[in-house]
Amino acid sequence: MKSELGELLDARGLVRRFGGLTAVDRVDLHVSEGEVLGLIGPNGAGKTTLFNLLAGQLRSDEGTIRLLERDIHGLPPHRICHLGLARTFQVPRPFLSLSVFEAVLVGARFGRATPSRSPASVTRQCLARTGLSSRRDDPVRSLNLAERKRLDLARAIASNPRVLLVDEAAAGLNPAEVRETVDLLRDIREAGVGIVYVEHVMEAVLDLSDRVQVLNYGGTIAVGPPDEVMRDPRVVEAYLGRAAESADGGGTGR
Amino acid sequence: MQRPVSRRHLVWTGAAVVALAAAAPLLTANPYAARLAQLLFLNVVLASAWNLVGGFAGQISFGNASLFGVGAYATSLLWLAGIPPVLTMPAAALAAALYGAAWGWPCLRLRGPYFAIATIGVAEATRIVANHIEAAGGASGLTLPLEQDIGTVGLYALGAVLAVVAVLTCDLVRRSRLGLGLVALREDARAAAASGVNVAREQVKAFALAAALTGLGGAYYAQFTLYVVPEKVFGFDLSISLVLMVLVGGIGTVSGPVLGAVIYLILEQFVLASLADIHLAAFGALLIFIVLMEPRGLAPRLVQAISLIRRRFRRPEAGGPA
Ligand SMILES: Nc1ncnc2c1ncn2[C@@H]1O[C@H](COP(=O)(O)OP(=O)(O)OP(=O)(O)O)[C@@H](O)[C@H]1O
Ligand SMILES: [Mg+2]
Repeated sequence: MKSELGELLDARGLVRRFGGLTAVDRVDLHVSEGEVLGLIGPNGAGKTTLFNLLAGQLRSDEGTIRLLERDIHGLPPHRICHLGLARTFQVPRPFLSLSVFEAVLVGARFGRATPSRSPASVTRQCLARTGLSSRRDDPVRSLNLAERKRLDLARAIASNPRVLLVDEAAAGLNPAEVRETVDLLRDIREAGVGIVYVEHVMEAVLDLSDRVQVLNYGGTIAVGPPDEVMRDPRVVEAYLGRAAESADGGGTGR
Repeated sequence: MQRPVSRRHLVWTGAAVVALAAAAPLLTANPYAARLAQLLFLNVVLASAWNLVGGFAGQISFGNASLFGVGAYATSLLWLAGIPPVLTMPAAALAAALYGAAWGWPCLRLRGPYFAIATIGVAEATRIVANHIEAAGGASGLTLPLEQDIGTVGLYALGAVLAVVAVLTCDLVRRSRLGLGLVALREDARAAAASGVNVAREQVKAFALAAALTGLGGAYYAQFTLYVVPEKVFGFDLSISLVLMVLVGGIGTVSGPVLGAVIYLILEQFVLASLADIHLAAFGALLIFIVLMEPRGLAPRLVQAISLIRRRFRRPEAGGPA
């Protein structure tokens, strides 16, 4: 059993409804220092909504969220960032008119301060880690999708998080780029950051995760070591069931 | 790294001061020239202030007259109470900043057209209330003591200082932490908040600063017109003219408001002379034309042209292939 001391984020019983739809249904989630928790599930399972609850973009209807032993439920996103939780976005939300350097500097200047380092030096380091140093003076709008995903990660780690929520960093990337992203996330984890990693690219998430948690229709259907979870009949059913459904239903499957 | 005050700053500020001083004899030679200079300085101050929030944070205000009027009235009332007008200016800036923060705090939670409409509501309400405050002269306004003003040269110098301060403020903010946060939240408020930017607070800070400058503009206006009246200093015309100036000159740039102020003044004088009060309509038509042709305003084009000329100047042989 892992010691509870390194626990960074601990969410219990989270519920979020949109009208009649329960997008997140009594979900428990926790992540410790240096741990990668893979969060998977079919489209519409509630993964991004769960991130929105944890990072404060949405308020949960029920449940508690503790970050470093502190109740963060109901705090605004910038406060949660200051307390050490950063996120990336499934669809990167870049600051288009800024330069690459400035976009990352936003995280370094406004996020959780990095002790005894200037925001500029933090920014340079984050650009180097994400392989964007050579693009530092280019406008963000000149970046392609893969670069924008890396920029979003650079911006997030510039805010010096203890917990990092990563939403589909590998989607739409070619195999080489996926490997780079996996290496980068591993590097971030080595520094002690707890990562919750949402991903549909299975090699990436299984390769990286210490534990995997599977969501389906908003609820957790399995959680545990990757190989065990992937053999779980409910997980197989969730994925195959959906696959069969969309194969039958043509374009109408969810 | 960018330092907040660079050599470039000192050079430009120095050049501006020298140019303004050199132009002083010309621009104080007769009452008309003096008035043109005063109006130009005023427009530069107000447009630059507007740009802090409208340009950097992307929050378009149609209500800056409410801040201008507070500054104008603060100075006028204190002046009539016996305080020399120049000494009332910090109070005018403070009053406008407080008023701006008070209504900016709730309104800046809105974005886009919702914010714009809220600002119209606040400014119109302010104008209507001001018309009914009898202690401040009500609808007939306040007439200020002519014999105590600081003279044509004094007004010229004061206006020049205010204009330089406003432009410098714009430039400093753009390079500051505040400016970075403003542009980030303009581009994407959610991503900015997720990166630690306190979106509400950064906007209110910028708005209070813009309000202080706008209030100083009002205080200056009171000193050269010697007459403040709600329909004018709280008027919608004034608010709209600032938006037009910045959009024509170049929104979100430091030089745009200055350029816009110059163009506006020229147009206003030109059209006023022939067609009385339709200068806003003429300016609106110009705006539509510019937005269609050059959506970022004229300043970026001008900067481009200047750097082109400079390059040719430095390396004449580069002009060869043309
Ligand atoms: N703001 C919203 N209003 C209404 N319904 C929403 C909202 N956000 C999400 N939903 C719904 O909640 C459910 C969960 O969506 P969510 O985006 O969290 O899924 P996801 O697991 O991230 O899916 P994907 O893998 O496709 O990104 C979906 O049915 C979605 O339509
Ligand atoms: Mg999602």
